[in-house]
Amino acid sequence: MIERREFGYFTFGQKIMIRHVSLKSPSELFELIKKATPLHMYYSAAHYRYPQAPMEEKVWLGAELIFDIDADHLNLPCKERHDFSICEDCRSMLSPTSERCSTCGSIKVRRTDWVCENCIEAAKGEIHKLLEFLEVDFGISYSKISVNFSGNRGFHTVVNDEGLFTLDQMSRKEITDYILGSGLDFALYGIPIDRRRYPSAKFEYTDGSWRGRLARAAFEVIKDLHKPRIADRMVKLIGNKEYNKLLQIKDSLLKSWLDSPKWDALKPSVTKAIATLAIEEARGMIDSIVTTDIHRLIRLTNTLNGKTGFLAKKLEHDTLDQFNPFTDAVVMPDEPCRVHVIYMPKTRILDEWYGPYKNEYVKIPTYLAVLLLCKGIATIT
Amino acid sequence: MSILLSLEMIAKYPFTKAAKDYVSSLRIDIESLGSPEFARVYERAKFRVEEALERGGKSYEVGDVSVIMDRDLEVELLSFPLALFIVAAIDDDFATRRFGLVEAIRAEKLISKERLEVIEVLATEELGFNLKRVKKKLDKDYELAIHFTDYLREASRFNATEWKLINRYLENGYVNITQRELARLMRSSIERYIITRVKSIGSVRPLDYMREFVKEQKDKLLSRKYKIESSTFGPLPNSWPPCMKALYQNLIKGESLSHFANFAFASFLLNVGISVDDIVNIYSNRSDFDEKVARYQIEHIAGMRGSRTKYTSPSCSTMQTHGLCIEQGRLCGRIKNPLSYVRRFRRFKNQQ
Ligand code: SF4
Ligand SMILES: [Zn+2]
Ligand SMILES: [Zn+2]
Repeated sequence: MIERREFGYFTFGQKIMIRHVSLKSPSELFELIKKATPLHMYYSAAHYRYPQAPMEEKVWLGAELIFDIDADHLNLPCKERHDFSICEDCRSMLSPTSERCSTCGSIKVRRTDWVCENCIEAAKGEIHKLLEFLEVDFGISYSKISVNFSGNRGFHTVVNDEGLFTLDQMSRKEITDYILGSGLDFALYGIPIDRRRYPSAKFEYTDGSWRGRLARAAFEVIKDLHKPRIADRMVKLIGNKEYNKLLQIKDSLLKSWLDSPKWDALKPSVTKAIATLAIEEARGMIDSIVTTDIHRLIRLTNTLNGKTGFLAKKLEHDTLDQFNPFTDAVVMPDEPCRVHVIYMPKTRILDEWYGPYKNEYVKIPTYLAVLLLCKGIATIT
Repeated sequence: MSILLSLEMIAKYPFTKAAKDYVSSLRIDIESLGSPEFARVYERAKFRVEEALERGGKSYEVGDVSVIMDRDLEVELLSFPLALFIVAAIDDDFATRRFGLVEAIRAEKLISKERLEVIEVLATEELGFNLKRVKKKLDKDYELAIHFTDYLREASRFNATEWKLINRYLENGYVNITQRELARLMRSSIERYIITRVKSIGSVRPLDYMREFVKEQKDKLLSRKYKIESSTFGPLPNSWPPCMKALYQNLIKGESLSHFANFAFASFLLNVGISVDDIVNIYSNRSDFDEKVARYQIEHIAGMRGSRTKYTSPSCSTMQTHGLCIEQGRLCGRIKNPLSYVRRFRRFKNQQ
């Protein structure tokens, strides 16, 4: 159905996307790519009657259901460690949050995101949660779901199912909220979060839907109470005193929760905190804007991402777990190349360690040089 | 299908295919329904239209069966296509929507009293819902589940949190629902269907025997519109950002907005200093308008009730998430909140 889609692309050095391109066949697409050599290539998840028309006249026929998971949105602690900024004027490397260059005082400071294996693993974790939502809750079969590496810090998931094609924007918003755990009403679930009386609700760990998910995640939260990841957030919600009390009864609490959750065994405020953290643990961190935008352009699968030079690779379901962009998405040649690097954190690519580099000339394989050039942290000499 | 074939069934549910087939097999045209022998059909058709336009379905909601159905099933059945024709002749967007809504309320009343088997046939064969029998005891006993796509088509427009997908039991693509909830979903679907039926008739000239009635209804609609337009700020204020202009236009057309859109629009209006009364007035154009409810909600947003906090209007990025921002804000310059648009506009005016 290539002729129903809109294509768009950026060329080198151009800041405005060329949009509303319509193509009749895969060979036209190849011709275009050869001729225009795009820096980024996109296509619409939507089908239109007139893909080349301006937006108001396109006539929307439906769209695939798409999800975007980006490590950048996951609040990962490694981000602060490996992201940095660069002064456009004197080319000093600066801390990621700087607004002004500490060397020359310039305010032309550009932030550079880096990606590490931890980022990718975290994004994979979210993909797994998303896939479970789609398959178990939404009953979408495996064969209709494809997962692609974005070519940078995340993954795209595309559901190509005719039955879901005409879902409107509001329906997609509801699906998004469901996966993000947003708008979950504890009272409706019968979880006592204040002093009101609730209809006693029986939760089973084997329940489906958010019901079972909430129960299982809450159990895990209690089990992991002592781990910093949970402890920090718990203290924020209920304070040190309540947290320590809770920690003391952890073992007996776990025992009483063994068969099924006992929400009413605790103070409402503590119950609420556990349930809140359970949602945060169980939700899939998708980008809500991408999924609800029914006109969205997404990166064309198996093309190069102009921010990295990596391949935005289509992944098979059984290769997702082992996937590592620094080996599996590297497609540029390995001929050595001399570049000047402003800064690069220590990085492993194709099983070889490089860097850290700081303001130096280096001779590195083309695929690494391209990554640095795309990121704007190196120049060709 | 078989369950639907009795005369009683198709009189109850005149929007079904079975009803349509039966009526056309009688070969009676709209013209002849004006003759004295069909006087009761015409009376009943007028009742249906007035019920929609003047009483907003109140008699159906409180009424006994005799209001909802004429005792003569043939009269009841024939009055439906005639009423459709009359509404088409009135040729007014608001009237069409209101008629669709009220006929759908009537159907919902009847559906909620039916046996499960009948509802299933109506929902699956007439409305195309994908349903499944289940047995699940949660807060209630559930016997039915509906595919989430059919569920969302209707429920994503409902306000109450219990309709939000995340607060439902969703398993393997199906959402558990009660019989009553299914009736509510069916109502929305029927409403849309009836509106399409009226629209497909197109604009027709009223036949002689109905001319006076049609004119009467048109006059009443006109005086209502005049009331709305003469409210204090007149037509579309220039100072509003495109998103709010669009919402306003949709409301004036009588379309219903999502819960969030209503909230965004009402809180915007309150923040630019429009009175509760004027806002209620704008909302009176909605086909499902209920003054008491609307006033309550607006006063709530204004901070005159409940938590007593006055809400500011949602930010541009929130508007964007809900798909209400126009052209990704390209027409607005860099602003973070629709209210800034108004402020900037006013400052600009003052400078001139
Ligand atoms: S940018 Fe803000 S004010 Fe402008 S249309 Fe979008 S939401 Fe409305
Ligand atoms: Zn500098
Ligand atoms: Zn990282």
